[in-house]
Amino acid sequence: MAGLNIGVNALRTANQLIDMSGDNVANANTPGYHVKTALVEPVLGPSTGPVRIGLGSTVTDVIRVRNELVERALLTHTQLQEKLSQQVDILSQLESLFTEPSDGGLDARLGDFFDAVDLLASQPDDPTLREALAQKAYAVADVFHRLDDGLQSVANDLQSSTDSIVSQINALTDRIAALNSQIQAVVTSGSSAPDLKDTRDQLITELAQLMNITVYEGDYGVVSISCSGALLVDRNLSSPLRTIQEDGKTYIAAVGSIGQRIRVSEGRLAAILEMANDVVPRYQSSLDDLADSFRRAVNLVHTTGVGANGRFHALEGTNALLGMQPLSDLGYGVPAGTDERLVINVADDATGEVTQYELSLDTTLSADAFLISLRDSINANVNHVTASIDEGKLRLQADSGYAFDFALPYDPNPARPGDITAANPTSPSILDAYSGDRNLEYDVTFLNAGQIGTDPITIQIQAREPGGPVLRTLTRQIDATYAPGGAIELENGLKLTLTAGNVAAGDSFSFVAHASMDTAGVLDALGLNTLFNGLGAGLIEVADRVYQDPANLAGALRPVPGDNHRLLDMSALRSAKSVASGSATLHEYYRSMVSDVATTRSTRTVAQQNEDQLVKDLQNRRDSVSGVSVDEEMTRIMQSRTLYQGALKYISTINQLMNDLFDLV
Amino acid sequence: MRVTQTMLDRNLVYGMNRDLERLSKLNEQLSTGQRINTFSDDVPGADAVLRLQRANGRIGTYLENIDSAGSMLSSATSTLQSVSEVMTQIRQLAVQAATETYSDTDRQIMAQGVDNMLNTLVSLANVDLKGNYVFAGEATHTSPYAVTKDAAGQVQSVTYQGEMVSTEAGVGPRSTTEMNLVGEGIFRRTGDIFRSVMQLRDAMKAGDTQAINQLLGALDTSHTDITVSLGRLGERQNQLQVMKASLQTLKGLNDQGIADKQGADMAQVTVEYNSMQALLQMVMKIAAQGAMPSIMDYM
Repeated sequence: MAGLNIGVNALRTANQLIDMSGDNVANANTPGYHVKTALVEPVLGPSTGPVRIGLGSTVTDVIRVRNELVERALLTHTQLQEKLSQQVDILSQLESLFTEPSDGGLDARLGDFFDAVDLLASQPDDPTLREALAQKAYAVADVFHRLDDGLQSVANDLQSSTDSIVSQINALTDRIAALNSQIQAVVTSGSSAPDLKDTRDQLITELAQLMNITVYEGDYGVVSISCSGALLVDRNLSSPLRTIQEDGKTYIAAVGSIGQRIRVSEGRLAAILEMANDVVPRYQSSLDDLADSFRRAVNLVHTTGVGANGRFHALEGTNALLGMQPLSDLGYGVPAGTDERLVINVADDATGEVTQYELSLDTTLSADAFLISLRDSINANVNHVTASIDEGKLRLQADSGYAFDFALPYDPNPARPGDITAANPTSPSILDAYSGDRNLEYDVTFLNAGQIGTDPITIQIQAREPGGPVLRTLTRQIDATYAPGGAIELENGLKLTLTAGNVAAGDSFSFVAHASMDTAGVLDALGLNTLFNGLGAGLIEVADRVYQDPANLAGALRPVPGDNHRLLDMSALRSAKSVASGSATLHEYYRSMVSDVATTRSTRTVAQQNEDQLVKDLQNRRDSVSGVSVDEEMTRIMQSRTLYQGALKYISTINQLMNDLFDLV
Repeated sequence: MRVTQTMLDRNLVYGMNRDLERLSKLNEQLSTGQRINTFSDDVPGADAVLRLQRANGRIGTYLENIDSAGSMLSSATSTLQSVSEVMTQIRQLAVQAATETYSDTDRQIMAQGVDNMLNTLVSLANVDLKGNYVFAGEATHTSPYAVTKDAAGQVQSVTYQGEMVSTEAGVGPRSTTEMNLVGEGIFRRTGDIFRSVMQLRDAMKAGDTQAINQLLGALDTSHTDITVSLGRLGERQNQLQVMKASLQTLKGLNDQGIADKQGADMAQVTVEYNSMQALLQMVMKIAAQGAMPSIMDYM
C-alpha cells in the first residue's frame, strides 16, 4: 500500500505550487520576468498484476510562459523605437543650437549687418555708423563661431557616446555568453532554467535598445546573437566590438577583424552613428559654406573699395599663401584661370593724377609661385608701388607722395598731355560708378572746336571692348547753357565733366572702364583690404584693421566722404544668389538649413510617438501572456491550499485506516 | 484577453506622459505668449516669421534714411527760401539803382550792400547740417563754394569745390534718394547766380544803369532757378512722405503677419490648458487610488 507516499507526494506538490505562485507574485514587477507555470505529472506506480495505480503527483519542471512571436516583434520594435528616440534627442539639440526664431539667431544678425550697411550708405563718413557696422560685422562672425562650436561639441559628444555604447554592448554580450553557459549546464542536468533565461533575455532586450540584433535559439536553450551577419554571441563565446575611424567617420568592427565594418542599422548606436557620420558633418559643412560665401561676397566688394582714410600708402595681406597647392584650390573660392586680371590705381598725392596698371594673373600656379609672380609683376610694371613677401603675406608699399587703390574702375582724368590740342585746353574728367558688366573702352572725340560753356560743341563717344570693333556710338551736345564742371551723362552710370577751356575739332581721349578690378578675387585670398578674414564658420572674423579703426571700412569708389557706391554694392548682396553655386541667397540658404533640421525633427518625433505606442501595445500583449496576474496567482494558491488540505485529510484517513488495522491485531 | 496590473499601470503611465507633454507645450505657449517657440513648432510659419522680421528690419533702415533725407531737404528748402528772399532784395536794389533818381554815390553804397548780400548768398550755399555740407554733393566735408576777394575785401570769384554727384541711399526696395545736393545744379542751373550778382555790383560801382537794367534779366533767371529747385525739393519731400507712409503701412502689416503667425491665441490656449489639467488630475487620481479591485480585497 502506497497510501502515505501518495499523500507525501501531494503535500510536496502543493507546497511547490504555492512557492511558485509566491515567486510569481514577488516578481510581478521585475522587468523581463515571465510568469512561471509548473508542469505537474502523475507518479507512476508499480504494476501489480493487470492494474497499475499511480503514486500521486509531482512537479517535474517549472517553465516560462511566453509567446515567441510577440517577443520577437517586441525586440524588433524596441530597436526602431530606441533609434528614433535617440535621433529626436540629437535633432532637438541641433535645433536648439540655431535659436530660431529669435533676435540672436544668424538670420537676425545677418539682417542687422545689411541694415547697418544701408544706414551707413546714407552718411558714409559718419564715425558712429561706421563703428555700428563694424560691431554688426563682429556679431555675425560671433554667431558663426557659436554655431560652429555648438556643432563641434555635438560631434564630440556623439563620439564619446559611441565609445560608451560600444563598451556597454561588449559588457552585455559578455554577460549573455556567460549566462548561456550556465543555462546550458542547468538544462543539460534536466531543468529548463527559466530564471536564468529571463535574466539573459532581459540583457538581450537591453542589447536590442543599443543596436539591431538577430537572435537564434539553439540546443539546450542557448542563443546566438548576430548583428548584420556578424556574430556577437556564439553560444558561450562573445566577440567584442570596437570603433574604427576612416575618412573622419566612425564605424563599428569586431575586435581582431581587419577593418571589416559591421553595418549598424537600428538601435541607439545606429542613430548616433548616422548623426556623427552624416547629419552633423553635413550641417557643419553647410555652415562653413555659408560663412565662406558670406566672407567672399562681402570681401569682393570691400577689397575693391576705399575707406574714409582714402587711398592706401601701405597695405599688408593678412593671409599667408604658402605651399604647392594651386591658389584656386586653397578654399578661398578663387577660380582657376590663366588670364585673370588685377587693376591697381596709383595716384599722385600732389596732383591727384591716377595711373591704372592692369596685371595678368595665373591662379592655377601654386600658392608660392603665384605670390612670387604677383610680387615680381607689381615691381616690374607698377610705378611707385613696391611689393614684398613676408612669410607668405604680400605687402604693398607706395613711394612717398603716392597712394594706391583697387577701387575706381577707370582713370578719372583720362586726357593725356597732347590729347586736347587747343590753347588753354579744357580738362575732362570721368565720374561716378561703372555699372557695366564687361570691360569697355570709351573713345571721346570733340567734333568741333570751341570754348566749353560758350560755344555749341558736339561730343562723340564710341564704346568698344578693348581692342575690339566699335559697339555703339553716342553723341552729346553742349552749348552756352552748359556750366563748366557740370556732369554730362554717358552710359552705365558714367559721367563726363569738362572744365572751362577750349577744344579743337578732332581732339580726343579715351579710357577703359573695368567691370571688375579683381576678376579672380585674389585680394580676398591675399587678405588685402578685406572686411572678413578666415575660412569656415569657426575662423571667420572681422579684419583687425577695420575692427580697430572703422574708418578703414571701404565703402567708396573714390576717396570722397560722401561716396557710398561699395556700400550700395554690399547692400545688394542681401538679395544676391551667392551661396550653393548661385542657387540661394545667404538668408535663403540659412533658413533652408534650419528648416531641414526642424522638419527632420518633426517627422522623426511623429514616427517616434507611433513607435512608442506600438511598443507599449506589444508590451501589453506580451504581459497578457507572460505577465503576472496577482489575482490569478492568489486563486492558484487557494487551489493549492485545497490540494494541501485534501492531502492532509487523505493522510489522516490513511492514518485512521492504519490505526483501524492495528486495532484488529 | 488576460489582463494584469502591470498592463493597467503601463497604460496609465503612457497616458499621463502624453498629457504632460501636451501640457508642457501649452505651458510654454502661455508663458511666452507665442505659438512658435522653436522652428519645428511650425516650420513654414517660422520661416515666414523670419522673412517678415528681416523685411521690417530693412523697412526700419529705409525709414531712418527717409528721415535723414527729409531733414536734409528741409534744411536745403529753408536755405533756398532765404536765398530767394535775398535775391528779391537784390532785385529791388537793382531796380532802384537802374533809375536815375539815385546818384552814383548812392549806387556805391548799394554796391556795397549787394556785395554783402553776395557774401550772404555764398554762406547760405555753404550751409551744413550736423557738419555735412548740404550743397557739396559727395564731398560732404568740403565747403562747396570758395570765394576769392580783392584787396578791398570784395568778392572776385566764387568757385565750386564740391562733387558733381551726390550720395544716394536706399529708401525703398528699389529706390534711392539723394542724401546731399550738388550745388552747381541749383545755383548754376541755367544762370549763374554769383556771377550775375557780382556783375550787378560792378555795374552799380561803375554807375552803368544800362548794364544794371540788362542784368535784371540774368537775376530773374537765377531767381527762377532757385524757385524751380525749391519746387523740386518740395516735390521730393512729398514723395518721401508718401513713401514713408506706405513703408509704415507695410511695416504694420508685417507686424500683424508676425503676430498672426507667431502669437498664440491666448484664450484658446488657456481653455486647452485648463481642460488638459482637469484630464490629468482625473488620471492621476485614478492612478493614486490603485484603481482595480483585486481578489486580495476579499481574502
